[in-house]
Amino acid sequence: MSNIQRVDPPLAAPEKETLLAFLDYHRATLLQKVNGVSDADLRRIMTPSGLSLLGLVKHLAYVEIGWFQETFAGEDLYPVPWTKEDPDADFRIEPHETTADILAFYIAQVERSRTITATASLDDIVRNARDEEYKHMQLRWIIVHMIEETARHNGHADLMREAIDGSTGE
Amino acid sequence: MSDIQRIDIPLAGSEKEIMLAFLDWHRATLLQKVHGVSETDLRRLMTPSGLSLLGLVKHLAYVEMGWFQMQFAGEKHPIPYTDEDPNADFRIEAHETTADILAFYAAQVERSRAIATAASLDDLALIFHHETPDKAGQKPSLRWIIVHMIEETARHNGHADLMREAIDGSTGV
Repeated sequence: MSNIQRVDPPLAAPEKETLLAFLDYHRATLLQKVNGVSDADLRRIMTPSGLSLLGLVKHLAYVEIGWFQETFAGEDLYPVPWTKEDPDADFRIEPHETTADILAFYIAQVERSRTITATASLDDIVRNARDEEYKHMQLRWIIVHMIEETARHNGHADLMREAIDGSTGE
Repeated sequence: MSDIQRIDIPLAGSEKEIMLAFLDWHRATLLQKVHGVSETDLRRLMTPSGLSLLGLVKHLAYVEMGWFQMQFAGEKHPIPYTDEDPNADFRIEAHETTADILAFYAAQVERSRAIATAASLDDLALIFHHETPDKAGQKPSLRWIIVHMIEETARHNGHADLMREAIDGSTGV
């Protein structure tokens, strides 16, 4: 993901190839939605709930970490920005964080996710069920969830981008 | 889909079971997002491009029909959009009631479910409306169609999230 070229998912392929292609399609869509937007507009809070385009990228980077590195692979959770008192901190861009920092951080997490999924089976079970009810969770569930979560946030990005400069499009 | 209860998605299962559960979850999410909104606000155009909450439901009904009935199963059905008016399926006409649109969506979802249940994920669509020169003659599998329906419905639910928040401040997954 060094550039933001988007590849159409193959029309008739096996399960894993199809799922990973749709997830990559939405990761690239997110990067397209932030491309060409000024630093000020990327940080502009666009909804009463506090969403910004760059905040979405930061949030989705931590979503990639949480599902693939922490839950599935059982790695120690990267230091996270949120706390019980400040649960949405991962949506907030701090003054010292640059756009380049956030994009590089997102891309690095996507690369880690790809490495983890490349060598695993969709039937594999999570190593670190954060919750007792997650103990039977398959990689299959995580990838389909990542598709729908990234797609839904791209729906948020669609309307924020349209409000910023009028541009729309899949 | 007579009510809008959302069912938790099984954490482990077969490919088809998991995929269809995620799709149903997003269909129910859409209905939750329009639930409790006044008639006026459901039809209010909320973006410069002309989106409304009820227009999203109408559009997604035609998306269900287009992918499952018309392309996968090869059926023919009347559609509101034309080359000159390509976004007509996002527009609520004066004679259409909210109940009409919700019933139409629910009916298309039922047809989609029946078609998906009876087929294999490797089965190919009989017709493909989006053929490109580099993929001439290729048809999408039912697997592709279902994953596409998940991401398209989820993305429109992202639109619904922000429209609903703008209408009454409510948010939530």
